[in-house]
Amino acid sequence: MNSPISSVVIVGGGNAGWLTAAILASKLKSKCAESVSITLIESPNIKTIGVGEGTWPSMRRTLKSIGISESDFIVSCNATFKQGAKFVGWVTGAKNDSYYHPLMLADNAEQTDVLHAWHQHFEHIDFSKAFCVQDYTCDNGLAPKSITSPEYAAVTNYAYHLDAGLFTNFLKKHCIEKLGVKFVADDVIDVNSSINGAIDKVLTRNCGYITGDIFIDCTGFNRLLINKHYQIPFQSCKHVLAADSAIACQVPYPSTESPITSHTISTAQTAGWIWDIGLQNRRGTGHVFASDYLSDYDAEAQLTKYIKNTGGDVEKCTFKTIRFEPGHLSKFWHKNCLAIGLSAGFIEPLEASALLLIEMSANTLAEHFPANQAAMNLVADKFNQTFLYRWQRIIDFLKLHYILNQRDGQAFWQDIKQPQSIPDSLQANLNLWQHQYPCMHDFEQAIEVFPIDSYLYVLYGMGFKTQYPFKVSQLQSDLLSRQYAEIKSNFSQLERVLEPNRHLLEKIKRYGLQKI
Amino acid sequence: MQTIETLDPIRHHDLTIETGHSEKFGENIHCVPVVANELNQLIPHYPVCLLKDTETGQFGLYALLGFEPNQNLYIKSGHWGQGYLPLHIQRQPFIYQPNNHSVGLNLAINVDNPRVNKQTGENLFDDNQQPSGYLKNMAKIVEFLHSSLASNQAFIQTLLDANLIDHNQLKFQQTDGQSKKIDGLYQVSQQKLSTLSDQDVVKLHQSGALQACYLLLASQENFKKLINWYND
Ligand SMILES: Cc1cc2nc3c(=O)[nH]c(=O)nc-3n(C[C@H](O)[C@H](O)[C@H](O)COP(=O)(O)OP(=O)(O)OC[C@H]3O[C@@H](n4cnc5c(N)ncnc54)[C@H](O)[C@@H]3O)c2cc1C
Repeated sequence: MNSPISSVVIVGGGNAGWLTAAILASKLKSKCAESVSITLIESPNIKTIGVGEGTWPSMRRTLKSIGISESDFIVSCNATFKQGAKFVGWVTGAKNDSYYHPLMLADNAEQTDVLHAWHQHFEHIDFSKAFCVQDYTCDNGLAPKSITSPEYAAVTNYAYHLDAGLFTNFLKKHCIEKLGVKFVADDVIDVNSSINGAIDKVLTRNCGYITGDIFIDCTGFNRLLINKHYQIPFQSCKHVLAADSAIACQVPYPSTESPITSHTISTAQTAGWIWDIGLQNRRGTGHVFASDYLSDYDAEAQLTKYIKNTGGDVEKCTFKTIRFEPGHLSKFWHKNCLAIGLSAGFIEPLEASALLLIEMSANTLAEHFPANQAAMNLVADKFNQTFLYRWQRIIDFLKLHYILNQRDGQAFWQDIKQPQSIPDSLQANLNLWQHQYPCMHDFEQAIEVFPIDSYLYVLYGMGFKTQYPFKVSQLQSDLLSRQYAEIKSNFSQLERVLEPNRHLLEKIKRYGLQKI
Repeated sequence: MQTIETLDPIRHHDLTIETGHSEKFGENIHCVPVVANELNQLIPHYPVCLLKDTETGQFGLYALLGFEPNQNLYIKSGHWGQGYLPLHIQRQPFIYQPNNHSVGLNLAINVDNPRVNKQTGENLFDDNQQPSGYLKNMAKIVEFLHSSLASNQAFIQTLLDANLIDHNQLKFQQTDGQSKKIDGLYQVSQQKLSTLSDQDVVKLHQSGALQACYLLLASQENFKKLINWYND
């Protein structure tokens, strides 16, 4: 019980497995005097999911912390810059219906006065335009930094769009060559437990038994250890978020000089939405939909139409259908087994939170790495508590995107905003926000998955009404006018230093970014 | 504006080059590219820093001349007289061009440079279409500068590889009491230099980079002079 944990076995070599390996290897190296060995077993027969191309700004910190050069990453993974998401057609579906959820925080949004002034007197200006400069940089397709910015430094906050397959290979190479992760290409075919129920070792098809002190289940939807072995129950949230299918498709650019969009575009459809992500060499698109409301055939037809309308050549596209049960495990860490990635759960990728949760999980594991078996259960309890809370927050936040819709006449959009489908935690907040503006205290935890600003962008981007009973003073109005003017003048300065996304990416390929 | 022409005794026989240094030759610039090979001569006069090229993000060595666009504080009453002039200034209006057999010197000329005229200044060729003493001297400068570029690049790469460069914000008080900040300057970090392993110190010393690092650091003293001029 008291012998130290000295070996970690990760089963699964998708982006969850390799990211976890990289984060653990780099963090534990600097933390533990005695080295912890990390082994990753990956089936050569079962393919990785091969999608998942949108990230959060946290990815910059993660890549830096595992010792990766940003220039190398951008070149190797066909990565581009993402400054936010644009939601098209989510409110009414009318022609000009769109709003931004940018990645920069909203200026002065912690001041209720300023929010109130916007709501009362400036609602004709898009919320995100009145509070953030990134509407402008996105509209103009500008990169969030310049060639003289050091690696990972931002002029405007950013995350990445990346090629999921290339990213896996890139991480794999880095883990094996630089971080000393042991790699076993084999299928896990059996799991062996000791008397107390902890996993002792796993049996592989060709390499025999592999023992470990702690096992990470990164086997994707297979959920080999956490579910097939331990049968930890799964909590579906399909009654809250009905999407359970995706058709993914890679779309070539019309030319090698086509502009690269600096944000994810999410366009509402009759029973779901289409993501559109610009990489260096192609776009990644996909239709996420609820199979209860739409057939695969019709879903593909809507995607095809979208691709055609956005200048893509459908002849060159192949479609791949993916099914999933939206939801998460009721417990992620059981005994000495922890599930990270798709094995822990998956909900429609509306806010690109899956990779973010992988980063959070691996970081939490590294930071609270159990000293020995005796500490393990205590650490596990905390972990489960924290991450159940996080999943609930994600569900709430994704649901928020749907419940304010006015897409009348479409069953999917009507059903999804029915009161009985809204989680209590979200309903409570909505009730509050009808009377007063959202503030930090409305949330429980110091590290929220989505900051308060994200809620503001979505709520007021979609036209939510807060009936705050106080009058707006002249002072408050002036403050907001000044802020709006400052954002505009800030942009005219940025316009001089920032260039189009593709230009900067070409330069990075050619010269690289400096480390300083 | 630049129009580069391969130097030619027939085509260019009547050109004359006005010498001297002042604003009218476009020398009202706030920094000038320099090479490590001329650090010894630069150091008594100029602060030398690393700056990033705005087009490529790549580091280069520069002598700082002012703190505002188009401000060259070394030009006094219209003239840039004092002390050593960076090679990049000395070489104007000539450019390196290999294998120019028509003159036997590796030279091309920027005929748009305001020094170039047909009335005053130095002749390029004598009556026999042979290069003048002036031109031969310019060829030496241009060739030396050209041959210094590779070692300059190697020096900067050494600094990068050894992780010795730091961002170095310059902050000083203006006469009106306001503080002025200059960003985008990079310098060898004294602190990182002093924590190098013995092995790395020896390596740097053998390549000549160590001496150059200390010259760069010493040149920072010249900022005081520049700030005084700026505030005058
Ligand atoms: C349609 C869709 C869109 C998405 N979009 C986004 C997005 O925009 N942003 C985002 O952050 N995330 C997104 N995701 C989620 C993201 O793709 C995943 O979170 C991420 O790729 C991690 O997947 P994984 O490694 O958990 O699983 P997988 O990629 O499925 O990897 C599973 C691994 O386990 C191995 N394995 C399985 N069984 C065994 C066995 N018995 N023995 C040995 N090895 C085994 C497999 O070989 C494979 O290597 C999206 C997901 C989907 C489905």
